Amino acid sequence: MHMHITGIAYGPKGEKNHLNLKESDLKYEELAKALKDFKVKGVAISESPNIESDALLMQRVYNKL
Amino acid sequence: MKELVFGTAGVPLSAEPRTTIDGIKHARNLGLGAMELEFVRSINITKEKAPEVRKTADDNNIILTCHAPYFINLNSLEKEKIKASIQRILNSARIANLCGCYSVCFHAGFYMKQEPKSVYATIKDNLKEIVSALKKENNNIWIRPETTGKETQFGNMDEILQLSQELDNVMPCVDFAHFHARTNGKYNTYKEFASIFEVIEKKLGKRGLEICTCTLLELHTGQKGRKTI
Repeated sequence: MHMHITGIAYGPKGEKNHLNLKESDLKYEELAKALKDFKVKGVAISESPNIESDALLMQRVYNKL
Repeated sequence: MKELVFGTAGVPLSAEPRTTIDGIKHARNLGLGAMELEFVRSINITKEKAPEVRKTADDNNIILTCHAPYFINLNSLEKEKIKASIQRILNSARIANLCGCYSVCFHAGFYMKQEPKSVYATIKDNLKEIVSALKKENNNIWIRPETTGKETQFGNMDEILQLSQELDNVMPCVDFAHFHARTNGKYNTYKEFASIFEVIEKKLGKRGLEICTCTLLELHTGQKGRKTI
């Protein structure tokens, strides 16, 4: 699969802007667990403003599971 | 080879200098496994440069993906804009393929206040043209319309899955934040994330959740002749 992961600010009309995961309400640890349980393969790309920090954060969380 | 690799949208911020080549090497130094080429404002790699990008990614064991320009609307009311959108996706796919990218993603278009069913038909026809043009060029890169973050944007899960079922070489690009934003805060629990994977598996089979391993083999051994699993 090809996926994008980022925190996000949103309103009634949907997406406003991207946020770093830790500054957002996205439950990325639960996402990591679902990725692991479903044995999802492929590429997960971080689109957070801090780009590589959240890519490394997700990788760390995922690899610890 | 890890089964799921993580990477950056574009050149990492801490790469020095911030070029594609240095970005790929830096992604490896950081311990990441992928990098997306961001053609979002323009296709900023030439076909002459592409082999070097490919070799650098191979040497550093980095999987590349590509994001085509933002200025795409396969449902524009103006024919010229549709034509230009098709060209932008085709040109992205061509350069991405030369760079050894695994897939190319993009936001397919806007509803333009039209009936979603007719929008689907228009976007499908235009994607079909893209897929068959690439097929003629022996370019088998995955074409990945993305799940979108706004109600005005074409690309809910059902639409993207249906396109993936009906067109060769089309598979979803899943954006979890877009799911979350589009539904004003839903898709944020284990159960809801799991439901995304369940519907993908139901509609596209197990392969919907997997990478084409043959593509990886090709990327990392330089062998040609990808087979779709």
